[in-house]
Amino acid sequence: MTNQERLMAALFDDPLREHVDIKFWLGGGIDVTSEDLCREAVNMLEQMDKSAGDSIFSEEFVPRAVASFIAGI
Amino acid sequence: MSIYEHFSCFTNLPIKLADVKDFILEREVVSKMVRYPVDLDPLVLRGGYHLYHDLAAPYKARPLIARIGYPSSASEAYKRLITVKEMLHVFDPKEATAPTKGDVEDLICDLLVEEAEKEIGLAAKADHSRLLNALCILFPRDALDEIRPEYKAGRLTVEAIAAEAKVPRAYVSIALTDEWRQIADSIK
Repeated sequence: MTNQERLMAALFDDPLREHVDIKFWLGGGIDVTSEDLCREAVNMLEQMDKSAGDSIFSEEFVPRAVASFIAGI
Repeated sequence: MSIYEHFSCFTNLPIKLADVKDFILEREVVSKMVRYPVDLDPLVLRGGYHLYHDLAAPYKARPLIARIGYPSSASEAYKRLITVKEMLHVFDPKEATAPTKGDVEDLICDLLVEEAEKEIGLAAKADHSRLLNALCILFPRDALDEIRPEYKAGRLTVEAIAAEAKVPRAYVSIALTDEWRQIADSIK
């Protein structure tokens, strides 16, 4: 089974999901092939399936006014 | 009001990812957004976005779920940029999505060629453009208008600004150019 076939199966063969869209931000490598991309895409989807993920989008900082940032120079 | 107009008047940094997520969820574009740190080969993939209907939900609700993958090994600034870039795909028009096997095959093909080399599909164009859009949100117009004069006068460095905004340095340099103001204004 090719990686592209694995990706299609991951996206379209799950009876509990109806695929709508997928997008990628490509890495910086040269000569990346479609098989490379599909392999990493499947890898990403499999890791997502095994994790609860973060739906809070939590971050540990308090934003401050740009004016305060500039004044602190 | 678009998401870009909404965040353009922000003058507190850094922009919180939760605020971006909440803006999207309040517009009921998707039912839920989840982000995942994943181990990726950075030479091949820096991030990804997956949108699907959850058919296992009760009462035939078919909630629309957006999943975002970002590299667990990336810097905080890159994680934030990747997350926002991928979140913005929920606004892609239908003709710029890849809902069928043929569309996904075309997207993969289009992404692996330079845009100048061949006419690429709308889905691939959306993938390219969302990066600039993400920068617009993480580095809002009004905040930049306060920062840019101080930078030009030599009182602020790219490094200090990047640390304050939690945006990658390379993208801060882009946002500090005079041309960026026009580009950002054109993003609606």
